[in-house]
Amino acid sequence: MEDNPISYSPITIGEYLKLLLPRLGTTKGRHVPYWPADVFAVAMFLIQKSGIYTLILNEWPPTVESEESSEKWAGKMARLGERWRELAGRDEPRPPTYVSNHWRLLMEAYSSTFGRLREDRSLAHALFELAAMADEASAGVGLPRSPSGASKYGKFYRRARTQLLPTETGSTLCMEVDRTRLRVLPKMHAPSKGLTIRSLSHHLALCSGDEICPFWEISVGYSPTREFMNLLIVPWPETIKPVQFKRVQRRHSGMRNMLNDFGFFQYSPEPEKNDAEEVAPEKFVKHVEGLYHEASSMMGRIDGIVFPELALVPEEFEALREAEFTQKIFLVSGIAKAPEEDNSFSANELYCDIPNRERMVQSKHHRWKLDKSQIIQYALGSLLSPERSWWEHINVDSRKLNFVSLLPWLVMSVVICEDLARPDPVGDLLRAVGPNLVLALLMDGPQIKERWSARYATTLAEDPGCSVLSLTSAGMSKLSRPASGVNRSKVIGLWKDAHSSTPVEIELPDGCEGVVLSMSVRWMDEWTADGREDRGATGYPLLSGIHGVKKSSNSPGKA
Amino acid sequence: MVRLSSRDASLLMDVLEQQELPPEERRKLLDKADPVVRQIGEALIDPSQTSNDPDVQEAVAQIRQWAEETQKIEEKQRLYA
Repeated sequence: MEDNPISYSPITIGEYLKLLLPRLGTTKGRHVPYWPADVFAVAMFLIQKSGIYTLILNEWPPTVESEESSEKWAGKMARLGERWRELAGRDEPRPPTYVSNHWRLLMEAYSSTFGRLREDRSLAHALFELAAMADEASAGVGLPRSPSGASKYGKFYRRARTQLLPTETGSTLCMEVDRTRLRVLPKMHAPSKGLTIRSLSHHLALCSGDEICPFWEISVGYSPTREFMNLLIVPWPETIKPVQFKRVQRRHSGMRNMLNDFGFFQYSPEPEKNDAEEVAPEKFVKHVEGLYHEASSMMGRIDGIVFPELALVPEEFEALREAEFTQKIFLVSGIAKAPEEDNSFSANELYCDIPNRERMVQSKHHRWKLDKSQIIQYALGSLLSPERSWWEHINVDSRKLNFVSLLPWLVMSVVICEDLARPDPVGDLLRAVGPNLVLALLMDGPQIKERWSARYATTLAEDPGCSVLSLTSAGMSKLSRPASGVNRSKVIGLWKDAHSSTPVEIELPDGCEGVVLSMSVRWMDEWTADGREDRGATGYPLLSGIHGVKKSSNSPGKA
Repeated sequence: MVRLSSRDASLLMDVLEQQELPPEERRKLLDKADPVVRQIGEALIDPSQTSNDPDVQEAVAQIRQWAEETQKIEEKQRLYA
């Protein structure tokens, strides 16, 4: 029998290029994109795929010209980036000639095998510089800009803002690279540890396609205090009973392939109801109003109120939003939605509501799996057998992540419970963008330093440098019984930022029903691995105060 | 409370930013906007164009305050840089 050896065909640079930008497949379509985010997407994709970013440590500055100091090189990238910003905002936009020349070098390598990127240093360096210039050109995209601040390069920033407007499939800054292939988003942190593709940029983040849809929202008309922020944390509900964890039948149309060893549960909130069994949120709203007024009189101003996972039903949130005292503050809460019919899923969502803006809704990405140890921890054994594992009966087919650009130094994201713990898909996106503030709404035990939330908050604080607040309800915290040692159910929150050596436990003082967290900004220089600094543009929200809130006797809602 | 979509908010930022344009051209930006957004935009272009709707008045006041606050932060950032 004749040998028929398998023929291997290594991928070429051109095949990758065509994958990102199909027009590059024709010789006529190989001109350079004028928009920095498109060039960034192409250059960074090749740098990441080939792993050549590690070369930067040995051959730095990564310039095609020799004998150039790193400082001089970084200055050149900044100047060319600024020039690109100006040219890309013109009516007939184009990139600088320096960019076009580097692009030409890449197109000349179109038919080469991918391995050439490691062998041909001038090609690798051209990619580094394309990415660096696109990054510098995009400084400040995706952030609120004052009308006067926007006058310089106004057209460029307006183009970027229009491009970033979310569609049904989320946001991207790219004009030519389709979002189903790759996305580029604004970025808030360059990690200071390790060496990954994320170490190479300040202002732009490379994100993979559609596994999770990022939505970028820029605030207009909402003004939290300039350099600090006071958040009222309400660990609602104050009590949770085991019977609120109900065993449910799996949905008829799905999950038929699951073993019988697994059961399904849903959590049923118990909002106040009237005689007609309708949700009557008046008492709850008065309770929050009492806390708000007390907190405001103590701190001067409250910028937002945050509730934990599954804290409210939609009617309660709606009533709170309608209340006069919440008209100038943002509200974030976990929302429990009952199934619309038997055997359908319940919903575990979060609402993020900024004044004057349409509400942002985000579903939980992962189902909670209650195992034996947790069933015992929360004393649910008579309702859910500890001999089985119980999945939360929710739908997870809509995965999105909102990035809320609140201030020129502050982008916030909110995640629900498990989504903090799972490294993908949301973890990759969080690390790529590096929002300055991550709120994690939990339904969990006390937020002590030894728990899982502290571990994952620390991971995000270290890389990329997010400040993370986790929050659980007083009810769930009380329901949790430690396997040994002292019960620390008063610890309802946990804070970790890049500059706190250990996580900070947030305790609800005796008699208090809320806590005000004060955050202040620290401007810091961040550096990319190729030696470019961001000139102090990065804001770190740092914890600067914790105050218990107790309603006074004349507060609304005080019995 | 007025509820602006991402597109509405972006349009109002365009109107606010393009102060170099004559008012009539800035108004043209609002041609296809929802009536509430148009009222807000017109009040931002010309403060004498006040709406009778208290929600619109409130939104205009908050957007103006936002512009001032954002400018102060940018000045602070420039100082640091």
